[in-house]
Amino acid sequence: MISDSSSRPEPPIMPDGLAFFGRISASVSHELNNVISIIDQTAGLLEDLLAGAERGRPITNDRLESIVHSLQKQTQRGLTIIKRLNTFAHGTDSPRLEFDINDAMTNLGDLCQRLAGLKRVTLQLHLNDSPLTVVGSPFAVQQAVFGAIMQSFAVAERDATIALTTGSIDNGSSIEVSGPVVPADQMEFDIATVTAFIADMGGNAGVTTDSEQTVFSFTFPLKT
Amino acid sequence: MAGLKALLIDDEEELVSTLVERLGYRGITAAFALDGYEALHKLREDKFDVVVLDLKMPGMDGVEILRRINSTYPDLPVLLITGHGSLANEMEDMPEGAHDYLMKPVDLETLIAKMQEAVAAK
Repeated sequence: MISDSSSRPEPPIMPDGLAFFGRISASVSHELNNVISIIDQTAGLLEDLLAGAERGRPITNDRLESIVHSLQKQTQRGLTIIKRLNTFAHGTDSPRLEFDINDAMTNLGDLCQRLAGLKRVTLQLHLNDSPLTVVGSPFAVQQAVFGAIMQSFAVAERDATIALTTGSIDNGSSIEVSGPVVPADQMEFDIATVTAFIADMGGNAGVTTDSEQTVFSFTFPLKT
Repeated sequence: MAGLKALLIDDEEELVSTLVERLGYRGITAAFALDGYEALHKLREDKFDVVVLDLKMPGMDGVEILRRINSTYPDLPVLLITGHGSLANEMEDMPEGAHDYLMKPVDLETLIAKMQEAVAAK
């Protein structure tokens, strides 16, 4: 749950913050367009079946039930997408919001699933068992982690798995993005900028690479 | 239009399966593929008169699928589908080898008209 704990009006925006917002919005709008397209064609199919019924080709109850089920499923899918986008958008409401890292990463993970599907990779989410409440900008945290996820996607082969993990450390919370090795000459994730940016909320960031994987790590102090 | 055979390529199964059924009611035989690899397989296995291809596809993207279709089946017309506000958002110009494009949500009668145009023009 996100709640306001500051009167400062403007959230901090990292360089490329608008590009991040735009990329998420474009992906969501594309998915919503698919939902509307399916509802539109399903309604058209119902018209076709009704026209057929008028010409003596009866519609079975099973057929009608499957159409109703499809419409309900797509409506629910659309509502879920809108809820995710709304939660994401409200992350910019204030620079100092009290929020749960688990919630912020769940929403970011859900928003990134379509991008993972396009890349043919799997994004797995592993959440800490208990809430990880921090104070700061959920948008900034999501942008920083999104950069790490996109970097992992960029070097991932088909069917690769990228893990997004939240956890607790001494007086703090951690977020890790673990994926395939990112060669130095393909590393575009700007660790210096990210580190400087999240330092404002007491956070820290790092990147480690061994022979098997590259791990992007972020830590934030828990709310006291 | 009876006898026309179309291959629809889109990763939204519920969308393409519904389109296949609706086209069937209008005398157009259609099949669908959910990604580029399946599409290329179906093109090898069967003969189609026209292809309808979503640009945003998982794995092999629409432009790459188009390039491969053009390379192997140069006379097979391809219609593109884009979910974006305009094709300009997706790319600067119509990709080489595409006959025309439509916007999502697709109007069925417009799709049929464009398929007829594409087949007539080849």
